[in-house]
Amino acid sequence: MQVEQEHNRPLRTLVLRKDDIRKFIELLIGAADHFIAPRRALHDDVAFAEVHSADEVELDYENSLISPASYVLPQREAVFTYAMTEGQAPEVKATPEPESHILFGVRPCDVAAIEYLDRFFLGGEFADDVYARRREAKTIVALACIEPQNEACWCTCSNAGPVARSGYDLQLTPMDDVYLVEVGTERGEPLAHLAHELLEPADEKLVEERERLIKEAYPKFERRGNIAQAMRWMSGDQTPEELWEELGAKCFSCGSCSLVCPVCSCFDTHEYVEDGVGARIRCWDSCHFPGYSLEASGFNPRENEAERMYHYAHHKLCGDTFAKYGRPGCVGCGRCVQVCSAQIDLPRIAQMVREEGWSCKDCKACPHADVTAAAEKGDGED
Amino acid sequence: MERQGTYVPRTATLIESVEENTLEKTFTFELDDGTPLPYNPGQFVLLTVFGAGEAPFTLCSMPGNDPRITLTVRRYPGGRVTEALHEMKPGEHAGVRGPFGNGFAMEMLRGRDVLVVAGGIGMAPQRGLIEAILRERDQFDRLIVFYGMASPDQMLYNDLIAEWIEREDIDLRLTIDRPHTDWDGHVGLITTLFEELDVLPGHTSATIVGPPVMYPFVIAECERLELDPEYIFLSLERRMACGVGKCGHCAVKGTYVCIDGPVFSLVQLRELEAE
Ligand code: SF4
Ligand code: SF4
Repeated sequence: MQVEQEHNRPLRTLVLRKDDIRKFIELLIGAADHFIAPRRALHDDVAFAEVHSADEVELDYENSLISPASYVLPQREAVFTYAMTEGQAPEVKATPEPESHILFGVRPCDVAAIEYLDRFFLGGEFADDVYARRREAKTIVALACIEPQNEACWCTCSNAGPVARSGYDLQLTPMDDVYLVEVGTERGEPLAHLAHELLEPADEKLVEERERLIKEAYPKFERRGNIAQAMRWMSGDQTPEELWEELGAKCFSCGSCSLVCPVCSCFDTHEYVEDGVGARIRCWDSCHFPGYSLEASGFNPRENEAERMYHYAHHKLCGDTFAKYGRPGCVGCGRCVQVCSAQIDLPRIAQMVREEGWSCKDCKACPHADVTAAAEKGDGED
Repeated sequence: MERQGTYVPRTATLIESVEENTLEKTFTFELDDGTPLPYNPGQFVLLTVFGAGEAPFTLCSMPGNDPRITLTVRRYPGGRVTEALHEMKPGEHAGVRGPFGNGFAMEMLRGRDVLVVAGGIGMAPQRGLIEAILRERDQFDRLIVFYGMASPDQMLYNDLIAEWIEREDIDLRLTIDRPHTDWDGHVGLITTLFEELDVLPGHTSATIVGPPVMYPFVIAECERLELDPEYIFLSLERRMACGVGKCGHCAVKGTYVCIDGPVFSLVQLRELEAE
């Protein structure tokens, strides 16, 4: 059982002068089939998209509404294709080898989300080979935040930010006039080699300075310290039914919160056939949709939103999720805060659970006591 | 056989489809690669009807070591897969992934009396179990089968049931919900069969499969008879889009019906329900 979150030490720590960042990006651009980076879109929005030159890359941005995790688990993708010929067995084919991508500028919360998805899709009884192949072709260059990007950020609650401690191949942390560059994995090494002329070894002082900046940043995150406590209440089923009924009554069942969530991974499948060629498409789904668990027979085990809300919150906040995937089902990216028109975002749910639930701290029967205690220990630093 | 991938089905040819009644057909498929598909009673496959989609169905034939599998499927109006499947003709092709799920734990039934409770289409998964028990009949003590259906014309596997009725080693009790001109047997909901049942509570395992509405009532009867909840097994049905614990649809808290189930003991089920 994985309780403590991994804080992997980087393989190497380097320095890049801020003035050289565009040159650095230019060197990285050709290193994969596609270079994906934050780019200004219409109306000043930022979206992760393919860029062909360093000038297109946005370096000062609030995180995109759609997470770059969508390059690992796309909104729509074929899981296999088939050719149909009258009177013959269809010829079923696995999907082709995915092309390689460098995901540049991934924020620590999204790095943590991808790490969660890896544990989910590659672990358990069956590994998902479609996910595995797509993931294998990705290199993650993180851009640490240090400071919250906006008031919705709450990554400190789940230890996902404001810098990534694992899950990245390269990570850049903006400091005064340099970036601290960490090589996290062997996969990051070739990129560091490509840009070796721009990189110098970092001295210990700079690393210490960054730790000091992180400490200073903690109080700037407005929503703090309630995920682990909410996990306690949730794991012990110590929440009143009225809470879920109240939230369920407000919720529009629009699914937006889970569709923008980089940790949410539910999918449905659809068939798409044209001119005798078919594909099984998997696409994002949301457990908030009334039809999510509706069966052909008409039976629906979670018919009302109160039940679905509980299911959603439970999955994100119960100790079981933490035990299996090493973190809660939330990385604090704040996207659900931005999209929910009913103001039922996860930070708010966690807060309500904490206020409405009752303590089970001393309950000896709780199977999750050790897990929640461990999570609480690492919960924020305030 | 080399695995082609998590989601890639093996193709299979429809050998025959038998109309059981106005709602249900039983389909026999043979896997095109000729390799067997061994499974435990209670396990399921994900069946692809090319062009329509994929859905989970419990295997209902005697679990064997051959490339043929049998599924009984009810047609649901508006259910894309079941409708398309019902239109399939012998010689046409489908896709098969699996088997998935745990199936019935035979070791929890061996050496004991077994009470099989099947409501309606719940007879499909139970048929595989009954056949598996009959194949090594001396490993089990009494075999009591309750089979309830809405009306006589909804009975599945008529020939097989007729055979079972003749057998001394199955105590088969049938019931229909409401009186019917073609029926001179027991009338009443499946729970009424429990009234005349006499069991050794500490020596009896029960397996229950039927529509969701049936479960609470049948569970109550089992409890009244003081059966051990560790030895009461229920098979859950849930919507599924993957069968391998990834799509999320069948999750009940941290438990996935597709990999942790579909068969759960009453003890496990109570833990899931505890809220
Ligand atoms: S919680 Fe908000 S965003 Fe999520 S489904 Fe309900 S209304 Fe939509
Ligand atoms: S639950 Fe909300 S804040 Fe947490 S990771 Fe998902 S979208 Fe971000």
